[in-house]
Amino acid sequence: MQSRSHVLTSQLVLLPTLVIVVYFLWGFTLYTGYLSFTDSKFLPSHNWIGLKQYELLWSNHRWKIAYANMFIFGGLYLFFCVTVGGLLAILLDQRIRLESFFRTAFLYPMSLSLVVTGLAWQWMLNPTLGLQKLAHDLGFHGFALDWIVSSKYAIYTVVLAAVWHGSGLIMVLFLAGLRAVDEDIWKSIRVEGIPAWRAYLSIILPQLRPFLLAAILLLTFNVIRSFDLVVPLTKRSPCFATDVPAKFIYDYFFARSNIARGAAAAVCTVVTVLLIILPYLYHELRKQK
Amino acid sequence: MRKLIILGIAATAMLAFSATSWAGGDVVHWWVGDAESKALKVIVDQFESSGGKWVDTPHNDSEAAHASVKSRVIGGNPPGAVLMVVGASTQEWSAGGLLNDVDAVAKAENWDAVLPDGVASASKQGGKYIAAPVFLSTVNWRYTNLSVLKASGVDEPKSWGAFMTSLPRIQKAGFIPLAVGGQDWQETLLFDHVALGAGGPQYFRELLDGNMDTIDSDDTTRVFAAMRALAPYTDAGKAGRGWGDTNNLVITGKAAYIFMGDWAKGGFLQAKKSPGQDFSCQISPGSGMVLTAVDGFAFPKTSSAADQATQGKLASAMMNKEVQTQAALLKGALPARTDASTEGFDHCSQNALSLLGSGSAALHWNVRDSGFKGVLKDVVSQFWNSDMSAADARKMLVDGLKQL
Repeated sequence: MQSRSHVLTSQLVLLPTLVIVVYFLWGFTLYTGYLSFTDSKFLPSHNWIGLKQYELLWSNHRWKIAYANMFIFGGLYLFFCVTVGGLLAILLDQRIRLESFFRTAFLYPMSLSLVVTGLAWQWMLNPTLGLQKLAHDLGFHGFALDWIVSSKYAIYTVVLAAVWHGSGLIMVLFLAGLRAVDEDIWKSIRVEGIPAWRAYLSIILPQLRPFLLAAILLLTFNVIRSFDLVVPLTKRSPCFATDVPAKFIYDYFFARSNIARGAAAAVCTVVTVLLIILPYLYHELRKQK
Repeated sequence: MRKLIILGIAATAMLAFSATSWAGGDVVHWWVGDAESKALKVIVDQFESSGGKWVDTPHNDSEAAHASVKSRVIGGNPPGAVLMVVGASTQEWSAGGLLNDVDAVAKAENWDAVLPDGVASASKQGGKYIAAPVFLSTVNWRYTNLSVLKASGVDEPKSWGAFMTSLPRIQKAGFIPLAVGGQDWQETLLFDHVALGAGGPQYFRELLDGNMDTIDSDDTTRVFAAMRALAPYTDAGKAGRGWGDTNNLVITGKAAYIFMGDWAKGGFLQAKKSPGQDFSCQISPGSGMVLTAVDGFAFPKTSSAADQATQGKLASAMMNKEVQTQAALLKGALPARTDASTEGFDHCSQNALSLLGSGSAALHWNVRDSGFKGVLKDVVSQFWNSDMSAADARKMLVDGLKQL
């Protein structure tokens, strides 16, 4: 009796959340999909025009840059966050002194919002007032760090700032995983005399698969919504070298008053991400069962 | 006890659902800069002295302001007025049913008689006034540091050809000939000057009208090539530079010319430079045509009679003759009304006024629709920041406009 009313209570409490999620997440996702097949410009319209918006979208040069940037940024961001975070976790796992100090220090960037991160890195990388100027003032006149104003390299500055921001979280995640490794395994490793690097690579890290899965999922969300880092960081970069889908979509929805084109871009982005993440998720979760 | 908790949660949820309320009748704007906010204060004072209560909702930029107003109107919580570039965007909003008209006030105060034709038609939709135009900003000025020209042994050029031949001589004398910034709107403004100066007023008008035959002609290729010809006379620091820093290069005598709108003049005046002696202002060389953008307020849709009355009062304060003169003086722009006094305006503004009076004026592309604006910005910025050929740029512009 007691447990039944417990269930009822928890269901009641969750109901508003469920309604909100269904309406605002699924409802609006479907509505966006619907709008991408219309000729909506300034306001939503219901005039169905089929795949025309997609055709125009994929002949749009700016969209192609934004779409390619999602892969450049996403790939590098995931790779470096996981390796840097993983390495830091392994180093911290050596039972060093002041561990909690280092843990806090590396996790600290996470507590900054992406907007602040972007602004701070914009100042540091700005050739006329940041690191380059510092080096020049110190007498190193050959020093050049102008990636942020170069249309070829600006996207890599976004990766740099994002990895700085995100790898601390991955470190903590992996550290938790490393601490969960059974003491007996370590004992037998020591008995067998296996070198530490070999032990990590072949024995310990493979046990961290579920943590890797969590890390990749978390980071993937950041890739899709990379808007708030890109805008403050590279607002002044040449044309749209650092456009990402989220920025393109925002521009078309608001500044360009082209709702349908923005919706088409949003659909393409979500479908792409799902196509990549779903097989991985399926593969991993099946294995864990 | 448990019931109480559930009730509490339900109540909290209800609270969260009730919409955040805005003060009705507020004015959304992004005039937060020094000169702009002083100009706005003139309007505020006039409105409050006529018995209104000004509720201020400032934003940092126009995009954020407009996005918020749009959702507020659709959500049934409209502000009293919103700052806009009057023209295609106000007409677009009105066609979408987001705006009230203020035609009653306009009729009563006879706006038709006091506004230039172009401004009046830009402020109307279906024959009714939907916006109160406050300022005309002139966007095509070339500001010149005269002492740099003197040191380079160059006379102030009056034509596009003379301007081009002066550039290498200024460079040889050790100055930056042309100060250019690195943001897309600055680059597009540069394109405007080239299109007017090298393409001529006729070409420019047809470009603005979206005449595809003109846009897809060799003239466009020539204009892009003329823009490219300027690149060797700019400095390496231009990447990412804001317009203020760019303007300072000319003010401090490091560079000779800058192409900019009338808002750049304030910097010269603040540095105690006097027009005609230290610096000069000319409209784009060889064009003889002023490009203007109309700044004004539009009035979001509301059915509340009280709010509509406020909107009428706001419109009337914004169109007040003395208010327009004072505010324009403070902002460095021109009053929208032709009968507003122009006493106290310097020779730059007087020059623009006389050209306006002679009808040699066009509304800038900024007052045209957001699609056109976007494509032009994209193409120009991409062309300028790469080694794209002029022919490719023309093709990209044509393709982009066809895809709208």
